[in-house]
Amino acid sequence: MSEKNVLALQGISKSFPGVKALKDVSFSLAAGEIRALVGENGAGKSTLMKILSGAYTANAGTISVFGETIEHPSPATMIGKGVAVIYQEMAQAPHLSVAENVLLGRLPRRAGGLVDWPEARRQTAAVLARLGFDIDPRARIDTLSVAKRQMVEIARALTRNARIIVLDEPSAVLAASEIAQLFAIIRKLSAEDGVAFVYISHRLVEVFDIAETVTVMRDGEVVHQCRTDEIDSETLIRHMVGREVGDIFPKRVPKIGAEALRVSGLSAGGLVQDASLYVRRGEIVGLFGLAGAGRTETLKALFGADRAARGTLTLDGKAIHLASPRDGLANGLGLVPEDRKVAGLFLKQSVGFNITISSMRHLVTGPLLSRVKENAIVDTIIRRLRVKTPNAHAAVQNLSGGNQQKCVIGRLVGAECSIILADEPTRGVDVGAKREIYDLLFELSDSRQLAILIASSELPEILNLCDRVYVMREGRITAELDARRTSEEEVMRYATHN
Amino acid sequence: MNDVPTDAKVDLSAKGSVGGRFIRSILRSRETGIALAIVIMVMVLAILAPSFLSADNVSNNARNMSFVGLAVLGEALVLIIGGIDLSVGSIWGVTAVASAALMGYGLPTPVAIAGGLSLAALFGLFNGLCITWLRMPPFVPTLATMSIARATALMITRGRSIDEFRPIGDSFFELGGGSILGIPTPFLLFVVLSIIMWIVLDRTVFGRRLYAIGGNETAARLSGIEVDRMKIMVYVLSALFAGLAGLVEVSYLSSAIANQGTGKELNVIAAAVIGGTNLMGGEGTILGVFFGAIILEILRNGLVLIGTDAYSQGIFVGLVIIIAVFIDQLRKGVWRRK
Repeated sequence: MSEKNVLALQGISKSFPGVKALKDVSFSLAAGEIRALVGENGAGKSTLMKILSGAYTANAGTISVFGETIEHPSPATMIGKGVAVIYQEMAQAPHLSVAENVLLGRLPRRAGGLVDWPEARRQTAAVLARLGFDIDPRARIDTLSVAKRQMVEIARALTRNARIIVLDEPSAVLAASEIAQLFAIIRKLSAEDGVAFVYISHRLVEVFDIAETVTVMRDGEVVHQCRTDEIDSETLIRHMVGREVGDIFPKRVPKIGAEALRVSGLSAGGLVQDASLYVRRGEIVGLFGLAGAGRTETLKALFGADRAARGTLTLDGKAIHLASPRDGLANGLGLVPEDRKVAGLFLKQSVGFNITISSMRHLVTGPLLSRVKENAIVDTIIRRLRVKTPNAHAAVQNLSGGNQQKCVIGRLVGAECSIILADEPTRGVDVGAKREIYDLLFELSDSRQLAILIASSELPEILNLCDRVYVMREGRITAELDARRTSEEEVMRYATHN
Repeated sequence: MNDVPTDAKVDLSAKGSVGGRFIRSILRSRETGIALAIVIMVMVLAILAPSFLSADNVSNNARNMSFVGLAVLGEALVLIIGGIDLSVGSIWGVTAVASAALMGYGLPTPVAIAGGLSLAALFGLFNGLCITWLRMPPFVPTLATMSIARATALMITRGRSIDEFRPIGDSFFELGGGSILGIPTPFLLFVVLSIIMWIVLDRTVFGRRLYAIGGNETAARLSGIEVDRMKIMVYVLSALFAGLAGLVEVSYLSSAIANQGTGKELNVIAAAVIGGTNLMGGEGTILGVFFGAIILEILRNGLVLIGTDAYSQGIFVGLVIIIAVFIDQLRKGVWRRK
């Protein structure tokens, strides 16, 4: 590994109206180095990445790549200097082929300006082969899994001769096996070609797995930098949140009551087959599975959001048929969808609007909505769930991820749901907010005897939060385990082929 | 509007008295800007063309703008749920000639009106069903209805105008041509229906659901809203408002021809956009589109009064659309330096 820095940031500061997003941030990257960048939501990681990609211009400070100071960074110059930023929301053309995306803007041409397709496919196939990816260059992007799309992005970065690759939470959308594959590629590129990586992640396990060095950001500042073998995760978390967190997972003794939900012989979403499970009052049940195992499809079907679902559902001992989400809500079921921005929130609307949209029948006086009733209900929920918002009228898009998720859960509390189906409830929220969401779920389960079913692909979450765990693989439930007696290895064995 | 006490620190924007926040919210609102634009336009025109403020001219303007205004009330609902209705001009026309034809056959006025509006509702239902059951993008069925409804109007009239369907002095003509306390009846109708629709959008469960659908359809469905049923209702309502505009216009003109309302869908959408309605859905207010309709009419009338070339009017309308949206984007900070 060369000691020469391929990238150096010096005293970077960036302000937005009313917010100082970055304060005097400095760090550097040697050739082949894999550096993790961690911090809670709002710590300034995304802003820093946008400055690196040239999308934002810093108010102060310098960026130098291979010792050369970049005077006027723009996306084009940064790409030209070999810096590639791969965002979580990938900037791809979904209707075009893999080859077109990899070579976007640089397709090889024949005389007369026509695209040289055989050459384009050959170049794409070459780079994919070098990375060990099994992807057809002719496949349309929208037919690929998220994991493969990410691989296409990496291939694109390499064809642009990227020497510094920034990955923004790549694992958020990947299953364990895909993460392993991604890590193998990162290690290979770093060792063989000296490509340097900045790896942004919320998952500390991964940070310790892949990164050699780590930079911790908090409130727009770099608060700690060290080698990953010099620090443990407790200390790292403390640096991230700036306070003692203790264990991320609260402890509790469940008070389990009668059976609330039982489904048998469920088939749904063209994927789930003959799934059977039950959840009792006061119980938190986990549904673990890798991406594509059928977790989301199962929850949607239980909620009534899958019209083609088949199977028998009993709620509190009564057989019932749910034809729509409306039916689900009317019968006390509530869904926290997998992607809150896509399926959960009305981003431009207020916190109050988002909390009350499923329970408006409680807000009316005659034919009209009552501001008094609305304010009372919204205030109660904001206070109870400790939603951090300036007021009930603030747009929900200005809240942090954790507080947005609390609004989604608050909506279900307002609608008096007695069974909560939560699909990856802590995805993309920071450590501190995770703990708050766990506390909230425990509190709801204990005080209101709610039955809670959590679908998750995060093992620590499943094992520490839940009382009982179902494991899914390829649309079938392969195991029912006691969360306190099982291990990560056992759960993974049922979740993967063995 | 009370301050919300939370465990968290209260942000600066929540500081200050309730009244202070109310005034700030008014100053910041989009409608204030539009109202200001109207005031400026009126002042400029009053100086350039003193006849602009004459009682006759004001009354005429109020009447003229009401037809498009009524149709905008329906289109606004469609735009708020993230749709578009291109068929309003044709439904306007077919309702006009159908009602006049029914009256011509000697049917009582209420029956003829009901018949015309039912036809309008049928076209709206057709739009709604194509969009929900057949999952078509709204542009397609409403474009088709634009053509079908216009052809239906032509078939009813066979290209001739329908006159003398009611004796001179009949009470039907009061609807479009009459006045109450000096205020033109169509304008009164427009104002009353605007107030009703404002209440519906702002203060009812129905209205909230429309904003929810326009804001995020998936989330709306998962929140228990019956999205398809709501969409069908909205397209029917849009057709009914367009039909009402046609009816009132027939009453005003005392004559019905098949090309009534031709091209009005563009004025209607323009008024909604000038009034701050977001074509992507989820944003828009009745107050905004009300002002939007007023701006369009002042512009039309003002350009005539100051002697602008009649052929060039469209240029000004086009520029006003661009300027209105430009100002709205400035307000939202779309181009704030990154």
